[in-house]
Amino acid sequence: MPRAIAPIPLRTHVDRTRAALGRRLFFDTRLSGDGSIFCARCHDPTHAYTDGRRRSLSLVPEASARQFNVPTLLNVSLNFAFGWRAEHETLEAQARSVIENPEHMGADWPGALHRLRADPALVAEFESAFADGLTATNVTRAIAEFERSLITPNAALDRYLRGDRNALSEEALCGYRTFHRYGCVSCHQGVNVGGNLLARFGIFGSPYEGRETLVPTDLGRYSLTGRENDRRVFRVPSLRNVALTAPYFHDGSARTLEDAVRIVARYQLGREVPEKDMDCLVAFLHSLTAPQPESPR
Amino acid sequence: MNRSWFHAALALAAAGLLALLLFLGAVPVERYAAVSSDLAGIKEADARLTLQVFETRLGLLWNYDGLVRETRRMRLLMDELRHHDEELGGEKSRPSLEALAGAVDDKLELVETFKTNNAVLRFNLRYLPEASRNLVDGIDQETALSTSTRRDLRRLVERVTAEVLQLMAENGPPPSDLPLNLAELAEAAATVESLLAADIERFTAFASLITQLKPKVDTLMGEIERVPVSARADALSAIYARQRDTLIRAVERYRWMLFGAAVLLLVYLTAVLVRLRRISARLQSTMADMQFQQFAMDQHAIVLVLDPRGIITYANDKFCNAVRMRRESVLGRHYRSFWPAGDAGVFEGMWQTLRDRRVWHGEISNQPADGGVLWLSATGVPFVDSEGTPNRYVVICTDISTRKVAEEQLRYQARHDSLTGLLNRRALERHLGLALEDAKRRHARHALLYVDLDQFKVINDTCGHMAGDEVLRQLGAELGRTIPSTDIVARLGGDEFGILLRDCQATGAIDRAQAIHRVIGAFRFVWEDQVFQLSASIGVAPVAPDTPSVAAVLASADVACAMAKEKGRNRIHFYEPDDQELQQRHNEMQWVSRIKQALEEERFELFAQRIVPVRAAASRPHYEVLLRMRDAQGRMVMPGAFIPAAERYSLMDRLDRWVIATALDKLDRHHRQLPAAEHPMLSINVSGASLGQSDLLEFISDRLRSSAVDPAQVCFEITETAAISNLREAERFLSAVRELGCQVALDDFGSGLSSFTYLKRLPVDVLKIDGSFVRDLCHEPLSAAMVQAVTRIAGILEIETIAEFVENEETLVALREAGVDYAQGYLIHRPAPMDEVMGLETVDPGRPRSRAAY
Repeated sequence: MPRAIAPIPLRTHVDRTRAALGRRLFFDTRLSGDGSIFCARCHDPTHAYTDGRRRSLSLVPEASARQFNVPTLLNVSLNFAFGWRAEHETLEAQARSVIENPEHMGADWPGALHRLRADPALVAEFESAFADGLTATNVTRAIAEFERSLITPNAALDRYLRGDRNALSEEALCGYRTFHRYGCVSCHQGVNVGGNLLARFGIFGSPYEGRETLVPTDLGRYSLTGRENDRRVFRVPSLRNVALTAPYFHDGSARTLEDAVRIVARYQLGREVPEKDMDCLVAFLHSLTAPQPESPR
Repeated sequence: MNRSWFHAALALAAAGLLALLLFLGAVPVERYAAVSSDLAGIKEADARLTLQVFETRLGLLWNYDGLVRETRRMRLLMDELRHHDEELGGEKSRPSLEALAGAVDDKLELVETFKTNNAVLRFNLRYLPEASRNLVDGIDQETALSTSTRRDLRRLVERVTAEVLQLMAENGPPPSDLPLNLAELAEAAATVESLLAADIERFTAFASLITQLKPKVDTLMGEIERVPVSARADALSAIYARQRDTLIRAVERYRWMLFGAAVLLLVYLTAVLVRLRRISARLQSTMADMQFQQFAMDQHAIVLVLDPRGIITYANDKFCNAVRMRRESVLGRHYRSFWPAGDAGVFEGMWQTLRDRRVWHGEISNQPADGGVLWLSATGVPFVDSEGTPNRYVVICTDISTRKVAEEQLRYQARHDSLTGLLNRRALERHLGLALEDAKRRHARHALLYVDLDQFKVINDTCGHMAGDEVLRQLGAELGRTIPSTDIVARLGGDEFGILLRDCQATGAIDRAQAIHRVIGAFRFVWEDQVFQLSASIGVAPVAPDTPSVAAVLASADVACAMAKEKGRNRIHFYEPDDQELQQRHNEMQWVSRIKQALEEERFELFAQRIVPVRAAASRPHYEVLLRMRDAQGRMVMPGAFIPAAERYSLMDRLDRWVIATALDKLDRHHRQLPAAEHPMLSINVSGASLGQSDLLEFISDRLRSSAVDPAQVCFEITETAAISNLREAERFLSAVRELGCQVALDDFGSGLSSFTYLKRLPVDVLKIDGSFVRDLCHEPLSAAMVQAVTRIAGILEIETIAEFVENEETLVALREAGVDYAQGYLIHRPAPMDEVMGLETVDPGRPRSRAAY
């Protein structure tokens, strides 16, 4: 029987020079319009590259309500598209969008590049990493390369899938089977256990039922395309390291894994999860937690 | 063929080739390969996507990683294709490319929709059996319902489950009663108790969802398969192929053109190379030749190279040696610095010629630092650059100093008299020519003096040639000192000098001539204890605008000089064109041809004049033989008319011989015709010119021997002047003639210098007293004294005397008193034809005569 979930390859090919440069930029406030924000402010390495908040911070206070929950950058390169609405096809485009977005980092490129050029060491690093040196494109390419290095290939499940029969606990193994039996794996499949397709949030009824206020972003891709078919359609998130990235969903509305599992079972699968299955499933989700990547220096 | 055109064409061809090369370099063959590869990749990804969609739908694939990979690949390939298409220009392919991109977008969107729907369908399907089981269990446990109801419900659920599964298993429309059953189930849910109702509703929802989704997913699959990505990729590929083929064909054509051009170039290059090799070989041999030639040239000639400013840029050893400088100091100097005193005109001419790009020949002289004169024969050759401007000049010079010195010497010699160092006749003529031109140009007047020394012969004959030469040298120097530097003295030959006086009228000329005459008179020549005083006869001729020629001037001066002599020497005679005497002199010139003609035509005749003893009775008849000429018209011409001309123009010799031969012939005839008669004595004149003739004596002795004449019958007369002028010859002649037995007489005695010292040296039998003394004997005491002196000396020397020109009794008496032995003149006998006088038969003109005698 073919496997729905694949292990992450142990070796990842990354340009270390560019990745190291990207890491420096990742912590560099000069990329933000007011010099206060840097990438790691929201994608905090100590929080598995999330910020632990329901919705991300915004430079524009009145826009705070429509921000998305910060997705982790761990294994982000294994996704088929980026952003909750799968609005970016490449990591570079995503990074550029975040840097330019006035609600996020609010940078203007001429200003940012001017600030970066004042740093000879940084300019030299760009010179060594790129033929054309310091440019806006190369800034995003370096950051994307850094992001590509954030791969966690050694979760218990990976070891299990590679043949280590004892890698999963009894309960996690039970959860792995339940995950299949419930049909969770229909969407959360592939090497990233999700992240490679779009799905409507709420097939059996709407999870927003009873909510008083909705923001446009709650409507998913609809907020981008305006097509009825795209209403509440989001990119299915990866479940890797999911235990480390609470709260959950695009709006951070699920505080715990149990909450998230319950809501997904109810609205996506049209069923309630018994206590026994819940424990198994949560144990399985924990088996997707992997050792954190070493940052290239 | 015009070479420049040919080269222009060649350059154009080369430029064309280069352009072709550039064009070929721009043919994006690899980009066509890239788009082909992109298109192939897109087709492959498309096929894989379709296949994986099928596999996914059929449950052969359980995750979307493969689909994601292919999707991403397809997007990447599309991006690449766009990029490559832009690189190819892409105007033609753009619509097809956009069509393909549209198809790809459609396909990928369909795939995304498929993924979403398929995921839902899949988990619903997976859950459906369990849901069905759970519902059936729930129905069985629902005791509130009747058994039949529960059974019906259970059957309905099982039937729906079976029908949904059947639907899933088959392609095609759902089983016809499935919607009805679903509706029935929904109805039942409303009738039963709440808890079960929810379960039924959920099951119904699953089944309905599957019923909805299955055809949707199948339709999607079909749509995905039908999206014409592959077809549009093919269409685009065909466009690219066409483009590429067109290009390749063009490239192929260009390649052949290139090949052809390369071959042509190669041929041309080969030809050029071959020619180059030939030229190179020729050049090498020429270079070697030139080096030899230069070496040879350097041995012979001075070689200089000048730049356009005249700075020396090359000088060979010869030049350095000639100027006695090191080459380092020669180079860089202006050439004129070596000829500081050179003729500026010559150099300017040379420079102008060279600048006009013409070859210059000429001579330049140089004075090296240590003196002497360096003469160079130079040839300057301009070398021009490609624009025709001279950029350097090569000057080749030969040292012609030796030749120049020799030439100078020759020129000097040609112009100067070697004895005195004065100018010679030719030089004087040249100066005369210039003076004449000058006279004509400026209407000026010059004068020519013709100076003849009166006593030169005396010195020459008494003291020898050495003394003669010395006196000429000293007097020449004296004359040179005397005249101003503007005037010119020349020696015309013998004891004659010519002096050109510039800018003087007739009176001035005579004054200056007198000054010169005084200088000559004051000059004393000392030779071996003897002191000689000199005098000169000077002829003066004007050089005036109307003077016809140089020859005329010379002749005039000569004539004037002769006149001075004729008038008694030691005087100056100014030439006057209307002077009758002078006119006569001029006529002499015409006499020459007349004399010659008369000789030819035998128009000379001999007359005789008797000479008689003054005191004693006559022993035998004595005649002086006189020469007469008949002119062409038969008129008698007296000797005074033609003798001077004959003397001047060297005809006297011939006339003398004719006279001697004819006279002796007549004597001989007298012997033959009148053997019994007393044979007369004849006095025959011999001119000074004949005295020097060595064979004249032989002629005379031959004549005497071959005739019956007694030599004692013959007396030869020489004028005193002729004897003094040619003292040595006269002495020899007179001695020889006396040895033959003839007598000799000194004619015109007293007219010349009348130096009695001569008489000691000359073996004379008779003195003929000059007629001028005889004529004036009775009127002039001086003449009488002269006659008496001569007679007395003759008496002492036992020489007989004859007086000529006795024209009256009075004179004859005086002569007798003076003691003169013989007399001659019109008083005694008028000259008459000789034959008549001697009583000979008239000569037959037709009688043959020995012409060889003359």
